[in-house]
Amino acid sequence: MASLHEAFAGEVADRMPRLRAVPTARPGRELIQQARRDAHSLASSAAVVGMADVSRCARALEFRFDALLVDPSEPLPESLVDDVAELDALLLAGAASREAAVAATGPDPSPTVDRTS
Amino acid sequence: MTASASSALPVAVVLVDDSPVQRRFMRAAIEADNDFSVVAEARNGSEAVSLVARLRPGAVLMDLDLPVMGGIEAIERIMSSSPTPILVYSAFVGGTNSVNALEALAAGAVDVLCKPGPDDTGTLEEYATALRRKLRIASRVRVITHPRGRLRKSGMAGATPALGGGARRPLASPAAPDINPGHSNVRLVAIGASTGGPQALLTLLGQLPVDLEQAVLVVQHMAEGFIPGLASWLDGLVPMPVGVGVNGCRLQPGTVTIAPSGTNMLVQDDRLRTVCVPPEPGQFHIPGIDATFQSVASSLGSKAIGVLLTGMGRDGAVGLLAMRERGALTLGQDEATSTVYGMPAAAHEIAAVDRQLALDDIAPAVLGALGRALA
Repeated sequence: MASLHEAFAGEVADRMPRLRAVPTARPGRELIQQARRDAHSLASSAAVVGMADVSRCARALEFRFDALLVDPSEPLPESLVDDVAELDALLLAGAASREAAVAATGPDPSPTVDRTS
Repeated sequence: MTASASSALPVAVVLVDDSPVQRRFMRAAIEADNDFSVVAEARNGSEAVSLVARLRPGAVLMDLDLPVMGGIEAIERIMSSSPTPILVYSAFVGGTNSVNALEALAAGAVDVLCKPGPDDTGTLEEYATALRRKLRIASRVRVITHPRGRLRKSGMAGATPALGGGARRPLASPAAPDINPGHSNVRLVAIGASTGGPQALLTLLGQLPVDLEQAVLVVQHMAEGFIPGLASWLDGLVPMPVGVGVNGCRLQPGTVTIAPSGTNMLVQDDRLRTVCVPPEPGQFHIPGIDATFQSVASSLGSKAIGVLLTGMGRDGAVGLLAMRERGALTLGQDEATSTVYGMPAAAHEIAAVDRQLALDDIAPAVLGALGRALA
């Protein structure tokens, strides 16, 4: 699990700056498609590392971008700022919670999956 | 065609996902089994196509939502140039998204598995086990060059129905095989399919006209929850309306009914009334093709045509034999066009098949037997 969390931290570091920039960026299909993909990947990856709240929030954001793709030239809704901020807050809380768990019990063993044969 | 799993060497696997978390999980899950070895990772569909062409792996594990080149296009390209068993591993293939699974299967993927979501109760170890189990089965499938990819390569992609197009027109049909048109009293065409079935059904049903005077009943092995998606997907692509059967429904001429999940759908009488019964204890494939075919043999005798399409295992063979023994015309898909030549082979071995035909020849054979002119 530790190696998955490490990969997830890298993915967050890669994708979140793009998502944070979206609300103030110029709307366009390419921008929204990339944002949708970032939200999609974060949603799936968060589920793998057990961060269900983050996964749900990112999935909701993905669906918002899906809806925006119907007309990418429309101005982006102001509420996107709050949506991205909520995802940021959940990621911070998740990271803090994991740090506390690691401090209490030590790092998870890795690899995560036992060999079967 | 390409060979699949070797008994001595581990199966070489290519992973395709743009997420490093997913790739790391997939690798850990797969390499926990010494029978598999991950030989490469691709971050998009285009990389996947190149890697598969170069490395010729025994299997591919692929997401659908990919940058640069999407998963469906990548599957089509791989299956047209370097046919390889592909297991799709995606967040959007279950429930209301099952149409994505059907598109992937129609493009040539062998099977699909849904990624974990935030509300799933399963553990990662359970997902890892499911991945290995499905990959093991998929890697044993001897895949063939895929028709959609072949058409795309030759610039004839327009000859296949566009997904979501919904045009109720038959595809151009090849010449009818030599089948005696002595089956004008037929009331029902019963079709069984398993692995590779969605694409085969699309080809077969796509050639049957909307004004067919017979009812069509399809039994497709499929995981719980995917049958409504299959029906909806086919309904948008083939001439006849397609729906999922319910207990007690009466099969209608010119309509395709797909047997529902979790039960065996039986035909009760020659008025084509149906009943759904619980599967037999220990029954592996649900819905069961044998059960349906045997009920068709009992209730309709020679007034039916049985078709057994591509699929793993032996389900349908005994039922098809019962139909043949009661005078029905029985057709089996041939080895060259079957994604998995299992069920049709089993039927052929026990002399349950009147004619073994290439997939493209089955609809013309059915129409020929009914005394119908080809479209």
